[in-house]
Amino acid sequence: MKSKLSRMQSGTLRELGRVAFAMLFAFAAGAVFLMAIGSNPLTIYGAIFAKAFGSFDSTLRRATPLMLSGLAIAIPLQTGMFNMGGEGQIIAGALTAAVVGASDLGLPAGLHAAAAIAAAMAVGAVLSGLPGLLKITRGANEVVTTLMLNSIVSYIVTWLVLNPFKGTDYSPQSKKILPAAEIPTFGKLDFSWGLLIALALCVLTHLFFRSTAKGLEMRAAGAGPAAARYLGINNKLLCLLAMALGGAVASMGGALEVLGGQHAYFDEFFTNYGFDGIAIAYMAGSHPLGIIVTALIISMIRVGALAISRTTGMSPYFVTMLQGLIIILLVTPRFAGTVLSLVRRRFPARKKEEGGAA
Amino acid sequence: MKNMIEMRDIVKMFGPSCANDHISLSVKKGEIISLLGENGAGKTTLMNVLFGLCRRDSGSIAIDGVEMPVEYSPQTAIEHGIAMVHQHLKLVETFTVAQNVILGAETMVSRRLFRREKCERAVGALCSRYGMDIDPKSVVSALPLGAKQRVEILKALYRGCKVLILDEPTTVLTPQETDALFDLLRSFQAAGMTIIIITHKLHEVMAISSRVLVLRQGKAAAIFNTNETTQAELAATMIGKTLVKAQVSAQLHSHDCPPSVELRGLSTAAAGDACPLRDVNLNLYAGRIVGVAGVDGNGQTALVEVLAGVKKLSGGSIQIGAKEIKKNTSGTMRQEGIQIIPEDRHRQGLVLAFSVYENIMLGYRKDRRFVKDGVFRKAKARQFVSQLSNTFDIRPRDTGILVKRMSGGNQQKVVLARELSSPDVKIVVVSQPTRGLDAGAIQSVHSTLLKLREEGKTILLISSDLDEIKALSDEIAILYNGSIAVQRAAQGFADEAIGLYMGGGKEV
Amino acid sequence: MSVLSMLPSTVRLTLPMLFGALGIVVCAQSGIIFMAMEGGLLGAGFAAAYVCFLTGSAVLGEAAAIVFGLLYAMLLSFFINQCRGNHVVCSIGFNFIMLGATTVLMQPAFGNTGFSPNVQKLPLVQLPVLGEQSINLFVMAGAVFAVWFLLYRTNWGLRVRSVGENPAAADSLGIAVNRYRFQAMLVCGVLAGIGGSELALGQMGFFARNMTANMGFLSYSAVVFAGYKPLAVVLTTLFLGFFDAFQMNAQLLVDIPSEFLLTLPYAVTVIALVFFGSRKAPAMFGKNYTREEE
Repeated sequence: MKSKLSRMQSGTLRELGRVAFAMLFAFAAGAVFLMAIGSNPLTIYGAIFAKAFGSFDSTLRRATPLMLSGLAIAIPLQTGMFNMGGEGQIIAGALTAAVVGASDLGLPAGLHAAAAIAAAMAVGAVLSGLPGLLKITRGANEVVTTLMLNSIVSYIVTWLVLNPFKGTDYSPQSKKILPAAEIPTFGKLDFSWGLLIALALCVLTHLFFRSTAKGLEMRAAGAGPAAARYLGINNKLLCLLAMALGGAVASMGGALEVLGGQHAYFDEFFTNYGFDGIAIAYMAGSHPLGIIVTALIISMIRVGALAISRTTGMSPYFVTMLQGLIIILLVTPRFAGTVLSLVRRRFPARKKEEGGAA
Repeated sequence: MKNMIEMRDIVKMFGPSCANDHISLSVKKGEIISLLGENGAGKTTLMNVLFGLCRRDSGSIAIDGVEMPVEYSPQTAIEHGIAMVHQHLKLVETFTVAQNVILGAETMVSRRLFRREKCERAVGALCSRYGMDIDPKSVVSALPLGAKQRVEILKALYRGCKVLILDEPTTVLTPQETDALFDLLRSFQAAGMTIIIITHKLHEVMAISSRVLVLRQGKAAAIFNTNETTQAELAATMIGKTLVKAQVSAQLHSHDCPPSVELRGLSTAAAGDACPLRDVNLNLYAGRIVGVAGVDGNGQTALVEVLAGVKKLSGGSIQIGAKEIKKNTSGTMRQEGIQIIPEDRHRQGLVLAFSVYENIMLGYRKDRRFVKDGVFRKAKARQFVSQLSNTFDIRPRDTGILVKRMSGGNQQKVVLARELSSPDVKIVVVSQPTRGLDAGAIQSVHSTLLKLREEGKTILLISSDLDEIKALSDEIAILYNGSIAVQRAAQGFADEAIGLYMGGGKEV
Repeated sequence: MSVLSMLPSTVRLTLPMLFGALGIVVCAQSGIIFMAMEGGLLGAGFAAAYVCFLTGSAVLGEAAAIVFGLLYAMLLSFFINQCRGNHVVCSIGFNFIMLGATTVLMQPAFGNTGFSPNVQKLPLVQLPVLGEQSINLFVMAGAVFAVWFLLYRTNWGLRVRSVGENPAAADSLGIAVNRYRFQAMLVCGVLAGIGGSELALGQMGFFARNMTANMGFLSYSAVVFAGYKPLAVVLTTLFLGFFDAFQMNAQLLVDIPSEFLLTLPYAVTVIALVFFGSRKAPAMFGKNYTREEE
């Protein structure tokens, strides 16, 4: 088994190298862009990292829904399905949890929160299960249907928050949840026990795909559907199941944030968490444990980005650009190689050794 | 007279393995020469180098006296008069015959605009000139395989090729269609064309070519004039040792025992351009191998899919012992002890991205010995897979290796290990088991099948390799156009009769 | 409120989407999934508005948008064709980048983070039945014809379509697969440029942050249920545009909350996909081509 371990290590190292290269290149390209528009990259990046590390508890707090958003993409991806509906699923889950949390169910603490989370997950499962069902029965492209559902859900949730579930007159938000539904935080720190729940879910997902029969079947449905059919595996059902799980997990992310942080649903809080999930999943190569790390990285960038508009006047959307570049670099296996060969063709004498580990 | 093609000392490496090791070949104008060799001998690579699909590492190539640069494209080769008809047809299925023929050479009709009628007329003229009966307006996806191959040949003719290379042209043809093809080739030869045929079929080499270059493991083993050699000598040169062919110890008649499996009136719904089953009747026996011969595309795939439970029956039933099955799902079929070795090991047999361990465990995912409450008992499972790896001689032995990195023969062994290692196996359906394998691997598969036969299992062998069918079967059945044309004892079933049935004819 | 009375606004709203959809069709025929239209339209619109803002000429703005579209397509082509990137993810990445870039550049370019100042619009024409339309309407008519002609009546089109169906066959006939894909994407880039310019200069007369609002994705859906064909895509785009126009008018007339009406185009897309979702795409849709020996 020694060779297996070393093979695993070299594989992981290569993956880490790819991610590191992508991030470095993206930051470098970003710096060039900043200089072109007259900003100082050092100030901007400095502000980002200062805030990210300075308020590490905020980073951890936002990493919670981000981890789950990454899982929401990674789980269906194992069966070959693309769940692009994270945006809608998160806010639907958040609102559901807020509503259940604010309702007087007469449940003790703990159970009330669990009920809220369960309700959110059910809603999420439906939101992603429906496109999944449409794909396996009618062949409807799930990328498009999940994307469309994002907008539909977004509008409906906004209306719901402004009308039946209205909390205050000041900003679009729902009623505050009852204390019994709250998830406790760690003292004065910004994050809650929700973080541990998210971490546990990542580990469980990893174990599921590596060590269970169903997990192996799902991976086969994605990696070798024809062979899976011959072995009696019901690919379509597994695809549907994976999609539903993805949505449930995304919605849980929204629920955890509402129950553990905001204690109410605020419209506009969760913008782009769903799409960040795409970056998180791809950066981690869909590996559930890797998602923990990449979610932290994205969370750091996000938290830092919030600071830069205040301190430097730069729009926080700058990090959106970085994220886009990172995920492009991660799915283009030949990027470093192609660039190198182009460089060699134009400058044949130069022998540049680039640290790219693509 | 100078040579039409002159290849000297061609070397081509793919990573560490040498596909072409200093091979030289000269072809005279107007001759038909064969390239003979097993899979992996380097025949297709050599021709890919000649055709510009592949860049040679060293050596020189001259076409009609003109030296070729080290790297050139198929376009250049075409301009020098070389055309290649590949083993896997390269046609655009949704285009018409005329569009496929014209593609890439459109400027011969019109510079920028695509003039449909002009193209169709030009192609039609070409067809009649060579006596080929194809409608230029028909869409390629609707044509049978033999006709599609002729479209490929039309492509070559349209470009006025002087040298025609054919890569395993008869794999998809009946004996009668093969004869028709050879007549066509001889008429081309009479018109001055030079022809190179890549094949592994000895009788075809003797039938059509005047010279044959035998390749073995990347090297040129020998060149013969076909009228000065025999099939046996060619075979020996090709393999490098005398062929040890697996043979059934005695071909047994079926009448000694009742059938263990009866396929009665099996029919499936037509779907796409795959041939459906039309009232298939077939008997299988315990301890016997029934070989189903036939040209690819006559329902073999549908038959395997039905027995695997992957395709629903629209009519008929499967009788296994006392049980009659009309609803054939994967679950039902496997419960009856049916194991399937599918024809496409890369897509249907294995998950290429998985390791040996994962592929085998996928087959045993419901076995209580290795799975408890849905979770794998890793230690026991790994031990079992290691044992299988030894029993079936899977190389390399490391069960964590990804299957896609293994050779075809070892990949097939993984499939066999997964399907044939359970004691519950009763019925084995094997489809094209040795396609693409080298001689050693083929022997290994054949002896596994014969061992199963000894153990009293019921075996159905489906293969388009007639030699394989004849070597292994107790009874031979012919599949034509979705039905079984005949099922008879192998002993005494003459080749001519077999060929006749394969082509849809009947014995008088 | 008749269908006829909504025709002018339908056409007006559909115009940018149609340019986008045409571009996606050309890419699709060559086997490229171009989901980056969102970013393309956004960036082109920004370029058009900015140049118009600087020079005062809408025509120069449109030209700048076309140049942007070409560059955008070239860069995406580099990642997809040269570097063998995943079409969907690269497209999404480019969308991110353009969303980020146009938002970040709002302040330095226009001095305002939400809206650009009003700029000169493109010339308008008065038409019977269709009312007041941008001059790009004629460009669009020409573009539809041009795309159809290019794909089905020229040798170039035959080759592009062969690349989308069976690149191995095309390659064996000496057709440079990646070069034709690149050219198809360039055509798409030009169309995206005109579409973005139409959005900013033809319709609005200014650039707003994230003004495309999913138009790029809607045009992608229009292509899917047009079966990836250029003539059918006119109809499907009009169909979707109709619902967008309907929703705006309906808000004034009906008492349904605006949010529900806003969901109409998206809901219709989903419903239509249920019925038309499995239309055949070119065989190599979304797959990269590498010659086997490599």
